[in-house]
Amino acid sequence: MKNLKMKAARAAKDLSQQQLADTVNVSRQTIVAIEKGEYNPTINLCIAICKALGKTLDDIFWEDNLQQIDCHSE
Amino acid sequence: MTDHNARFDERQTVIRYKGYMIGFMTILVYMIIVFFCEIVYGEEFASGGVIAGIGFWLAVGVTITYNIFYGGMFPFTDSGYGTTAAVLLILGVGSAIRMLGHLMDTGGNYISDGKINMAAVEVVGMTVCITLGIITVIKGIADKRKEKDEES
Repeated sequence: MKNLKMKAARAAKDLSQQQLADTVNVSRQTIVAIEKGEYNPTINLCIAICKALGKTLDDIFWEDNLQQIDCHSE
Repeated sequence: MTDHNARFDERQTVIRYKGYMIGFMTILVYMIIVFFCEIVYGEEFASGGVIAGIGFWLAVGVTITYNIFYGGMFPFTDSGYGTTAAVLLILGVGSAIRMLGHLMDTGGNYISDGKINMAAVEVVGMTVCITLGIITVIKGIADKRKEKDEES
């Protein structure tokens, strides 16, 4: 599942993928993979990304209400 | 400029561990196949060096293929796909030369004294290296094209 919240937060901060990658000390490909939902980052990287974007973990990485309901119902 | 730690980040670690695991599983499957071949053709169907050589090339081929397709980087690929492709193609040509040498010794046969000889190992090595070199070049070109679309 694509992480559009992270992409939107990055765009709001006017940061490129490379700039965000340099800030959190990972490769640009890792940022691309996270935004595409192809890679689940560790909690440390999640926190670093949130700090760089000035957001909380809930803002960036928590799923929508509808998806939460789906998860709980399974 | 991205530093070394950034290039070899946590995602790279995960990809490489998975690559090594799949390479290890390849060796296990290969050893099971060799075990059954020994039952069918007798214990002396190939020397230990030949069996080990083929297993080595298969495991290396599978591991590197996984890394290429999932964006993993080896230390020698740090400078880019071109270096990787060049190293693999040189290894492939080296294996081809060694294969010709073995074939000249054995009169053009892959089986000598009822056993598979080292020329077979060089065929596998040559095939793996040249194939991986070509895949690396193709993946490198594809990634460069994709990079333009991803950046926003």
